[in-house]
Amino acid sequence: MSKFKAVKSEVVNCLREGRFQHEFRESIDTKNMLSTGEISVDDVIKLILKTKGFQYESSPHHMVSGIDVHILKPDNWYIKFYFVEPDVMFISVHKN
Amino acid sequence: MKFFIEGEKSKAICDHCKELANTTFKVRNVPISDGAGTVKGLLVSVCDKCDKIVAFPHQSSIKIKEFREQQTLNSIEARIPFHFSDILYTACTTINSSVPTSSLGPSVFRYYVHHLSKDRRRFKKLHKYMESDLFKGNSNNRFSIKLNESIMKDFNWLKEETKLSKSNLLKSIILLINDDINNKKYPKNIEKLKDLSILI
Repeated sequence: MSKFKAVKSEVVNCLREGRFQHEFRESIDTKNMLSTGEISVDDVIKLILKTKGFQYESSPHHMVSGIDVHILKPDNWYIKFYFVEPDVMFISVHKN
Repeated sequence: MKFFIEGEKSKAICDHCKELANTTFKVRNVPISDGAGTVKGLLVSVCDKCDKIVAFPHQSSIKIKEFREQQTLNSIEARIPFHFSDILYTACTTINSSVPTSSLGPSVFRYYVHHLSKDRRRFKKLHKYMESDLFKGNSNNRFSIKLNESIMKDFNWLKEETKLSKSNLLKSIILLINDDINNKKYPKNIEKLKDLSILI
């Protein structure tokens, strides 16, 4: 399985099982629309499932190089997260 | 859905310590970036080393959403005859006399705004109440109610569709409530509201 497909599958599993948190810096970031309840978990799952390989990128976290930050850009959305076993941490979920 | 528990351990990247940190779930008051204020009593993930908040579980999002909605509540106000509040309070007692009318009244009104916006056949009846004797009276009593964004949209939609003024729409809705509930012409809604009233 490609890295993209593995990431997509794992993040969807985390969302379905409720194993996810939202990153916090200074204040609750309204750019993370999943964290503020402006988009539902089901709708984020739908967006992730429709993401194609060319809409995916990843790079090492700028502070902890051993952790990859994943970015999905389905339609006009921007979804950014990283995994901290056994959960996923969302950084951004917003429209471009 | 997984629920995180106060005191439970987790991990997250701490922006302050600049490392993958061990964290503990604690209850804190948390500010929102859009300046809407501070959400009190939120379960958050706190860095064990620097004690700063580094993350929060999704279960806290429901409280954040509710807090932000409360900040954007809109109220409608109008002057209507005094007996309209008596009609609404009587309907509340008919629905469930054990719930305070001050709590149930606004909920019944909100229910009707939503109900009418979804039922084209029924909202068309609102006009007929303008001919009713009960529609008359000096508009000396202040009526005020808070509506969330969704119900406010329904209210504005009704206003647009019926071409009634704000106060005439309020009065017509209350007279429809009078017919449905006090005069028992629409028992379906009495039963629905009885069920809903136990949640108040």
